[in-house]
Amino acid sequence: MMCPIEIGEQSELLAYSGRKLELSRAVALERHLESCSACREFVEGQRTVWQALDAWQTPPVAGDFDGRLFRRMEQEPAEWWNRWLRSALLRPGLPLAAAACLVVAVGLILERPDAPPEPQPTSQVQNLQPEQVENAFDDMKMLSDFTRAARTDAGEL
Amino acid sequence: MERVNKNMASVAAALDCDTQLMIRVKQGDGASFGVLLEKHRSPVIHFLYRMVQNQAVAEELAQEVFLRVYRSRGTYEPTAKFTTWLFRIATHLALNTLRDGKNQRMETRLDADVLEAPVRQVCDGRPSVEQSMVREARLDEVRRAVAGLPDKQRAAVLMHKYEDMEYTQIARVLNCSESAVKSLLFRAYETLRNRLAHMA
Repeated sequence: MMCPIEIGEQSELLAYSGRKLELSRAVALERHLESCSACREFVEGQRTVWQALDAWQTPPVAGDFDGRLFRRMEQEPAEWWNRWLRSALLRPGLPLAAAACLVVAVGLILERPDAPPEPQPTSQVQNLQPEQVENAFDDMKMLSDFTRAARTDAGEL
Repeated sequence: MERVNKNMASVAAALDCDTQLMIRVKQGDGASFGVLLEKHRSPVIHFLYRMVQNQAVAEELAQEVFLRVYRSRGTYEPTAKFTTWLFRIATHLALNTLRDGKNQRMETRLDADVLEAPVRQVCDGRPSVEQSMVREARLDEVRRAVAGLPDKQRAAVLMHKYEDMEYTQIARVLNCSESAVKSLLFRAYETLRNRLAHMA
């Protein structure tokens, strides 16, 4: 018999360890095990694993398991809209369409032309600098001088 | 060849007793659903418990499994064995729960599991406190070793060991090839052999 480990047939050893191998093959494998320490080690290790897993008991099932289930089953027809909504949301095209809408909306917001700035007279007054006021007074004084000079010229004439 | 295999699977599914019951459920026979529930309740819950290692979460997931079976009764088609379909739903839910970490909410129950374990009646010579502690420590090691396996390896081991499933059926449940299942199992058992070697 070829060594199961060497030919990659560990399933044979697993089945033997779990006592699931058919008799003729089990007999052949036992003969091989006598001379193959690697396979022997595999089988011994696997039997330890089986025993450890066998010892793992599960807790008892809650007594009201069926009752809870049947109550939920009774509520099923009332939830038809819920199932419809869920199936609608899980349709393959829907997330893609939603993503496309989002991209378009963001694009429209970003591409919106800037509105012309509205006149803000009060802010202009508030933003006057001292130099501007000074210049305005100079202009007024210059205008007044100009008017006076003009009158003088007119009187001379 | 693949077509022939599929046809054979369909024929085998049609001959499956559970499949016949499910077809009756499809036709509106509620009693058949009760029979299926009675037969598969414990295996499904035990499988889920060993997957998520939390009894409350396992029972909640099992409720969802049977609800999904009930909801799908109208569209049910016997293309595979009933248990393959059932465990595919259960595995899918368990893997999602593990991925989302929902089973971690009550992680302490991994240790508290001792309290939930069935009470063993011993006629005489009850195990000493020390013996009980040793036993629990060993069980805890087993649980942790299994919990340490990657999710798919864990599912494959539990179906192979406790549900006695063939490689082909596990492959159908996990939606992968038979050789992939063999690979999953060999790697998983190798890890377990290394981790539990001292228990010999």
